[in-house]
Amino acid sequence: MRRSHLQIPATQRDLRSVVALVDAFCGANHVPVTLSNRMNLALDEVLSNIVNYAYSASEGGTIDVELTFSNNELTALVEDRGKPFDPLQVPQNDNQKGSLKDRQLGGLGLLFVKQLMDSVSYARSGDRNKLTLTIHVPST
Amino acid sequence: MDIREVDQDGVLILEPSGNIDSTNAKQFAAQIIGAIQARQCGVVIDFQKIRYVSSAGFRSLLIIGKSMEDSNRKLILCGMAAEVRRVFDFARFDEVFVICSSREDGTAQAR
Repeated sequence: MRRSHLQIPATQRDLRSVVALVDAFCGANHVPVTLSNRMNLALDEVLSNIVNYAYSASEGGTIDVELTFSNNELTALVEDRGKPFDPLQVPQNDNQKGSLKDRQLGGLGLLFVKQLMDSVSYARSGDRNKLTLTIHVPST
Repeated sequence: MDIREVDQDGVLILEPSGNIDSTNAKQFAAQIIGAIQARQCGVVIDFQKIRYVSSAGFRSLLIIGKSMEDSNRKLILCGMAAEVRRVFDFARFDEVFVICSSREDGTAQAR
């Protein structure tokens, strides 16, 4: 199983099925659990952004997630037909420091994605946002 | 969400398991705050059975921390696997909470 695809409605509760897909796909391809957890964490950030911001509440939409594993690379391609949004262009919020009273809620998700992935790329293709997340998987 | 509660040496230890992500973070916060408000003692959240915490979980931890701000009670985090701890370091959450490696240290600090 080198490729696996899932289309889900863009709703919060449907994100659980992506976690199950990532776990099954990584298990079948002998990807270490630390790395599948990393991919699941990054996908939660990306997918919950799409759920919250990509589509109007009245219309809704879908999200496609395709996982591939080849040449020691675990890749997730995430596509939606929502508003154009390049997460790599979002400036990093620099107030994520200090004690509890100084902290504001939010602003960590994209930081985690950039820190945890070996590469992240974005393209707008027709009416689609395409975000590619890649983790290098060392040979055992 | 499955959260085990243990009373140990006058400290409330909460041990959630699984992932803390956008699908369950609100429930995580509500359950933890409910358990904390039912007691008057220090609190340890033990992460040993947590696989990963996404930003939604960090948001919940801030909400939990702020809910205790005026109470004079301690909230200590402990038991994180290296991979989980790494993400807390990205978020600079060692500036927000005391994070101990073992439950014993966490319990001693929460008392």
